[in-house]
Amino acid sequence: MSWQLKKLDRKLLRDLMRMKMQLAAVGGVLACGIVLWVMANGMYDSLQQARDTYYEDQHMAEMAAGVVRAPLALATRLAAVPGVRELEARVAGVGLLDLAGRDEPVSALMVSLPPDRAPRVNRIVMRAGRLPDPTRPGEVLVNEAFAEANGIAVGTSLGAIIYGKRREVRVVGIASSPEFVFAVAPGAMLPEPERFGIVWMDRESCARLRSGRRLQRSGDAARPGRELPGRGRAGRSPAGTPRGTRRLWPRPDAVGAVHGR
Amino acid sequence: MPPDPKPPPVYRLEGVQKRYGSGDAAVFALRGVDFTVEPGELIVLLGPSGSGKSTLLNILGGLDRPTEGHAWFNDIDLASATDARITQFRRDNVGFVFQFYNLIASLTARENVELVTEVAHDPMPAADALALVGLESRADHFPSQLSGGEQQRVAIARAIAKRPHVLLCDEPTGALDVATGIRVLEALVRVNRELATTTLLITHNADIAQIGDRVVRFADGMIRGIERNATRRDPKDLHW
Repeated sequence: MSWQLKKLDRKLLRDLMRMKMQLAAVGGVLACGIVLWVMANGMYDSLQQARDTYYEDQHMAEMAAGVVRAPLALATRLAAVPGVRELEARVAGVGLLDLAGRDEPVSALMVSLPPDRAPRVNRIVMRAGRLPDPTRPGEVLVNEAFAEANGIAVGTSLGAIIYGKRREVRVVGIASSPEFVFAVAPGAMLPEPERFGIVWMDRESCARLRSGRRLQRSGDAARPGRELPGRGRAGRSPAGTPRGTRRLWPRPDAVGAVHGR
Repeated sequence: MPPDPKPPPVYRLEGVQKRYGSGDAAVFALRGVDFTVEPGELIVLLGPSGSGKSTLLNILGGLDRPTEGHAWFNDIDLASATDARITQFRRDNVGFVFQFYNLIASLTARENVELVTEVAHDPMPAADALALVGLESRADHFPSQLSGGEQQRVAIARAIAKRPHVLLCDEPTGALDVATGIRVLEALVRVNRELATTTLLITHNADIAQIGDRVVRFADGMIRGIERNATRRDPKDLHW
């Protein structure tokens, strides 16, 4: 068989030699493609590694769940589930902000902070200022992109419209979080930092936002979803929405988690 | 001592038809050909375009099959043999020469011939095949360095290098001037005489018919006449 191929091999080699310029061009294109492919893969891998390291360092949650009117005691039970390393319960909801000189509505995701410490899951990184003092309601953090887009600095006062009631809050810190690298408003496709931001505030204020009314005791406010005395029935919230988990978000879908809150 | 029995014919054709299409749209390229070819003969197939000469040659060479009838090569029925058998038949027995030379441009004359000798069972050396067609001095030239006649003679050398039993030539001089065509015919006649290769040669040119043992005249898909030349003329004596 090797005999049989000899002349054909020679023909092939001569034909290739005749087309050496075209071959060089094709080879060049292929080489560029391979180089780009290797570079892109390397970059992709290093970005993934950087992201994973960042998530790990900041204790980015592996999974998030949105619940309606779940008792806070459930968090203790969930934390005891084998495999759960850390669990953080918090209150979150979207509210409106009243920014001076802005005609269009500006909204923000209000996220509660633990009353006596920084979050252990989805840690926040302080860029400027300090954490809110739990003894001073009305102190908040805003995310860095939102602050830059709207010229908000530490010390700026904002009007937060919470269930039709205007409240003054004061920015005491600028922060970032692995959870909100891209802060996307519900229903939006892309981040619009000038129109949507993240506001971290004390749990009581945040709970008021979610419950829609001022609770009589601050201890109740720290338990989002707890049924108010004389209000609602088992299985229904005061607004008539069902209790329980609406959705689970594993980490790769963390950006989309903002939509569902 | 009894005389040697007459050798059997190389080809025996019985009622060979070739039809394209069916029904009212059927076109007959061959309308029933009965014909035999004796070993060592040089037969000239003569006729106008579309008369069925090339179709017959393709059937004899195993490139096509009849739709009706039988075409025997020794004991092989080319009408019903398997594709593998037909391929083997072509490889072992048939050399083709076409009007256009079909040489590989990036191989020299010798290498073009060696392309065949590498796969043949009992080939002659490529140099011998080229010598038979008078091209020993041009063996290392590429086709682009050869004239049309020389290229056609390389094609003939390539066809005969595997020592085929039959050599089928379809208009081998069709693209050549007279002097060059005569040199090509001389090469074919020499191969036929020295190697006793049965040769069938298609041509439009009635003058060329004189170099054959027999002339088969074709028209409208049928054989209109078969003539035997009393003497075969030397191609050198031809004019057209």
